[in-house]
Order: sequence, then structure tokens, then C-alpha cells
Amino acid sequence: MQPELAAIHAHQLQPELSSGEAGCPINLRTKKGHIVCLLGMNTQLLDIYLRTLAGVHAISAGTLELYGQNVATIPELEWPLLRQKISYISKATPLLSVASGFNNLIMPSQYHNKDEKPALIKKAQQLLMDIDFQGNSEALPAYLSPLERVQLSIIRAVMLDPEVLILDDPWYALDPFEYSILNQFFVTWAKAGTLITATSNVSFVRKHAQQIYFVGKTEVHFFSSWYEFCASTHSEVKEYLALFHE
Amino acid sequence: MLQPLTQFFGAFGQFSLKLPRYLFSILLFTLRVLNPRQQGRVRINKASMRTLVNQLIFSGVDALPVISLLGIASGLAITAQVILTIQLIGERTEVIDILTRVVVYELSALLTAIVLIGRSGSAITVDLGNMKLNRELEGLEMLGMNLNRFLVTPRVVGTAIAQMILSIYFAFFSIASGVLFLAYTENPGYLNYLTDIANALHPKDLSLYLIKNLMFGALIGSIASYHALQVQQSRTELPQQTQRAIVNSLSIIFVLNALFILAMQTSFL
Repeated sequence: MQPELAAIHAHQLQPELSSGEAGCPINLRTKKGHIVCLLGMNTQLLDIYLRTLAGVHAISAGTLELYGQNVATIPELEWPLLRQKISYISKATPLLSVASGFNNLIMPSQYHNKDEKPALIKKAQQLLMDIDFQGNSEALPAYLSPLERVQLSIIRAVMLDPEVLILDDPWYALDPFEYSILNQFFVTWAKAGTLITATSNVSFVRKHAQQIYFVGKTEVHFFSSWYEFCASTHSEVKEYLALFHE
Repeated sequence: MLQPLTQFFGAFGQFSLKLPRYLFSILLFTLRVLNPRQQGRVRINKASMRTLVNQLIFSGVDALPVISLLGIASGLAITAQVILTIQLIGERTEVIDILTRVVVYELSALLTAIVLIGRSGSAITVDLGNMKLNRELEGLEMLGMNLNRFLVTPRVVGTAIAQMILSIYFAFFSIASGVLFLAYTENPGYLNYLTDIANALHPKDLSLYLIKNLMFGALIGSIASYHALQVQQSRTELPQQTQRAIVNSLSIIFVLNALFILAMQTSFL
């Protein structure tokens, strides 16, 4: 029996940093049902790693394969399909400001001819319930709260049936009491997909992460569980834990 | 010692290449946007169709009142005056010839284009430019959406269709209002001008007129979108690019119109 083809397989992957230098190498192989968390002091650096894994950022060295294909050789016409399967949502979570929240949800699915409009509306309504959206989805994004905007951005991507969700700290603009709303949705969603996120929400990492990557100044450390992470002897990890652990 | 001289020629060379380079970029951008196989295959999607319909409503339907007003005003100011003045010194056929050349083929296209540049061109630049500044476009790209296909092509096609229809609408209003005004104030016989002008429209010139308007509209949408996508990071770039889009659109449309006049001139001779 052939092993399952990883959606993302990074081998000694070094992203190109803004200074032009190469970042520390990372080895990552996604598995269905896994929640992968990237931790570190430098949040911008974490986003660079996320963007590199999504195939959006320039690679300095190493290889990145998306569904077994090296990103360097993926033809331009295949990217739209890959972007649907591997969704990257930035910290800014920008929705289209001129369209209502609900139209933002169904627009990309309509663009990709995913289904008929009534079916898409039904699907969007179900997903809004799943994520416990309490706002007015007919309002323009400018009139929504940060939590509602994040929820809509996530649903907009999920509407395309992705297999991997890459999120740059979705909890970034939220109040701590709003964290659990997203956490519950992520955990349920990740049962059938792969969630990769950069975050400083250690509570989520502690409870749900199966793969933890700590992006340090000189090295990227891998831990297979929270306990392993806590037991780490690396000084940067200890420093991080001292700062962020509850 | 030679350095200032080489610098001067270098700067002169750069300056002379600026305009051709800009025109080439606009041409390339327009052709790319209008290429139906942007993503390798021709596929209509409802999201792009909705953008197109919205653009047609904004550029076309919403512009009808202002175009009607301009049409009536220029009908009274130009059509009626041309008829009254030229008939004193020339034949009736010459009056009709001047009206078709000036009002129908030239004035309608140019005035409609000016309105379209002012209303839709600037709106497109501000709209898309703001989306780019807020990184909304990046969000769409991350969902596998081709920005040209989803946002730019419908706008360019929309402005092209709107320009063509509005121009015809303007020409009709302009001629009809002028003739009706004369028929009411001077002599009902002036109403015959309506059928005479309609009969004077040659199919070849009409096709050229339609093509010209489609080109004008497409260029207005394309130049506006091109400048919107030139916005990088700062909010101050947006008014700068909007102003450039308006001025450049006006210049290009007027020059292009002159070229069309030359082409139509040969067909008249």
C-alpha cells in the first residue's frame, strides 16, 4: 500500500528573508487530521514561514512539494486549483470591502463554479452556524467586529473545500474570551483536514497541536507534543515559555 | 568631463522612451485583460458576470441622466445652431453632412468618453486602488482567483459596452432635441432632418463608429485599472494614480479620435 501523499512536504526549506538572507531550515510533512503550530518570538518571521509553506513566499534553499510536485515546477495554470486546496489566510484577514459579508463568502465559490447559488448559500449558512457566527452577515466588512471578520475569512476559505488551512495567528485581534469560538471550529475542521497556524495562543497549542515548530534565531526546533516542548532544554524555548505560558 | 554630457543624453533617452514604454504597457495590459484564455481555458463564472453587470449598471444605466442632459444641451447649442447657420450659406445635404460628421460621429463619442472618464475611470482607479492598499486583492489571489478575470476584465468590458451604448444614446438625443427645438420654434418642416440624417449614416462609417466607441470604452477601463494596480503601499499614491489615469485617458482618447478622423476622412472622400 502506498503512503498517503502529503499535501505539503518541506525538506530543509529555507525561506528568503527580507534582508536577502536565508532563514533557518524547516522540515515539515503534513498529515490529515493534524494541527501544526508554529511558535516563536518573531511573529513576522513566523508569517514568512507560513507564506513559504503555502508557496507564496520566495524560497532561498531546500525543497517544497505540494501534493508531490516541486513548487518550482508547478505550471502557472495549476496554481488556482492548489490555492483552493491549500488556503492561506493572512493576519489582516482582508475581506472584499465593497461586498457584504455573505457575498464575500459565496463569491470565490461562484468564481470557481463550485456549485449553484442556492446550494452555496445553504453551505455558507451551515458553516456560519458551525463557527458560531453571531453578527449580521449582510453588513459590509467595515461594520463587523474583528471576530466576525476573522470568522468570515475562515469560512470564505473553507467554502472552497480546502485540505490544508494555513492561518497567520487568527486570534491576533481577538479578546481572550473569544478564542474558544475559533478553537472549537478549528478542532472540528481539522479532523478531516490539516491546520497550520502561527500563534502565541499557547492554550490552543497545548490542547490541540500534534506538531509544534519553534522558529528560533538560529534553528527551527520540532516537537511532537506540548510535553516534549515544555521539556525542551533549548534556551530560546525556555525563554519563550517563561514569557507566554499561562 | 564627458560625464555631464552622457548624463544629459541618458536622461534625454529615458525621457523619450517614457511615453512609448507607457503606451506599450497599456496596450499589453489591455490585450492581456481581454484575452479570453487568461487561465488556459475559456470559462464563464458567475462572480465575474456579476462584476460585469454591476459595472454596466454603474457606467451605463447610472450615467443616463447626465448623458441625456448633455445630449439635450448640445442639441440646442450645436445641432440647432449648425442647422440654422449652415443652411444660410450651404445646401441641405451639406447641413446633414456636417451634422453626421460633427455631432453623430465625433461629439457623441468624445463627450461620452469625457463623462465616462470622469465618472467611471476615476471610480475604477479609486475602487481597485483601495482594494490593493487594503491587501484585499492578495486575499482573493490566495483563494486561487485571477484578479484580471474577476475584477479587471468585467470592468474593461463593462466600460466598453457602456461607452458604445451611451454614445449612440447621446447622438440620438443631441440630434433629436435640436431638430425638435427648431420644429417647435421655427418650422415643423425641420422634422424631416431626422429621417434625412438617419439615411445619411453609412453602414461602413457606423461600424467604424461602433468600433471606435468600443475601443474608447475599453481603454478608459483599462487605463483606470492599470493605474489602480500601480498603487503600492501609501495612501498618497491613490490620488496621484487617479489623476494620472484621468489625464492619460483624456490624452489617449483625443489622439486616438484624431486617428479615427483620418481613417473616416478617407471613407468620406
